[in-house]
Amino acid sequence: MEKDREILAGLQTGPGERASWELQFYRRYEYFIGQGCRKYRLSTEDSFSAYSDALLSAIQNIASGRFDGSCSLKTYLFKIFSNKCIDQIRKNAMNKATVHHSVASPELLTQLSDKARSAVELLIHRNKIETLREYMGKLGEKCRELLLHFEDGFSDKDIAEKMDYNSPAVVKTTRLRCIERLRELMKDTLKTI
Amino acid sequence: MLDTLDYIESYFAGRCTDAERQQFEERCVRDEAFAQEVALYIQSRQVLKEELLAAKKAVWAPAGPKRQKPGLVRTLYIASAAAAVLVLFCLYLVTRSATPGQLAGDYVRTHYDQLSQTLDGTRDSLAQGITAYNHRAFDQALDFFTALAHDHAGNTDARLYSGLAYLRLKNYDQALHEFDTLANMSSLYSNPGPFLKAVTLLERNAAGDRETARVLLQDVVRRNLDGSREAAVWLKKI
Repeated sequence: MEKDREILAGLQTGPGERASWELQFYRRYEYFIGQGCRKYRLSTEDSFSAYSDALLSAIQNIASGRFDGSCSLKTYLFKIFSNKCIDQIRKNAMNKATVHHSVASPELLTQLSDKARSAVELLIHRNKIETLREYMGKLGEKCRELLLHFEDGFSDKDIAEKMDYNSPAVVKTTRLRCIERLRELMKDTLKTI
Repeated sequence: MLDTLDYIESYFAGRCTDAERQQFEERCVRDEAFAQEVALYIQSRQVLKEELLAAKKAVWAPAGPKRQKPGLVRTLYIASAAAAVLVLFCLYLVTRSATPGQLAGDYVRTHYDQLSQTLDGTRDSLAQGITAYNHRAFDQALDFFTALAHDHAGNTDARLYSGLAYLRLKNYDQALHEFDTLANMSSLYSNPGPFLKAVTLLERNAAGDRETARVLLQDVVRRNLDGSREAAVWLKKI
């Protein structure tokens, strides 16, 4: 329990030490991977993917203050991990049934209402995610690094410190411009009426 | 365009009010161009997440995941099984002389000390009630659960949790009313209502309660309802 408290506190400190606490958190519950293999009959690689994904979600929730501490860190992480294992089983089942690799439904979709989700999901299936991945690589290293820090849950203030920007406002504008540049690259392949 | 992206980002960052969220969602339905911007934003975030995850994996386990040795696992299983047998034996020694009230109380504390919570406990009243319950604010939890049960008569969770909150507050009459209503709901595959009625009666332990509970427990066992395993054990003790 003491170790868990240390990890929780460590993850909520600034960006400088977070990587080290993330690694400690990973190692502390690494045995979940074996449990994922046994309980859900996943391969080691799939269970490892589910565990890493769960850990990332947990870390982001903890760092942003969304973890309310109503259960232990282990229980919290295992709940997320179990859901990720089930997602992995579904993904494996879908991949077997289709010729091409299926793309899992993005998590952000679940935040939309049912009607909005249907409208957006239709367009997501039309867009070619492989093309998007390719264009993401063309954004430039600085854009990519900034966007990855944002996706990792760091605030604009943290990113400004890490990447030597003048202010959080500059980080925000730069980030939105990076996404706008991606949109321009995708313009020809976007399916609009 | 930056304003649109900022607007989309604010929605997914949870910075919008409820009215703004609704406007955003309605716009997704009626404005396809806007929906396309949202779709692109979501997919961009998805690709970023994949890249981030790959980067994290490379740091956390640069040589890939550890594979456990079968021998160690087997040893752990045997040790766990032995420990479990020892614990069960100790429990048997402790519980064989427990009173019906203690049996019931222990059951509630073991199985319903905390209610299962979704990750985001802020959105709906059931989740808010669960959060209050898990913080032992049973009166506040009841406000959420009873309102929900009133507005949605078929909501079995609201009925169950109302009953549990009343039970924790030792308001046995209301708890019995909730569990009785739950017992009469036909939509559940395995209904915990009859067993929880028995639990409430055993805990209350008023005149005639033990006999009524016994009849309920026999019915639970006969119909193999939720709690049938405990019911079979308790029938030997009460």
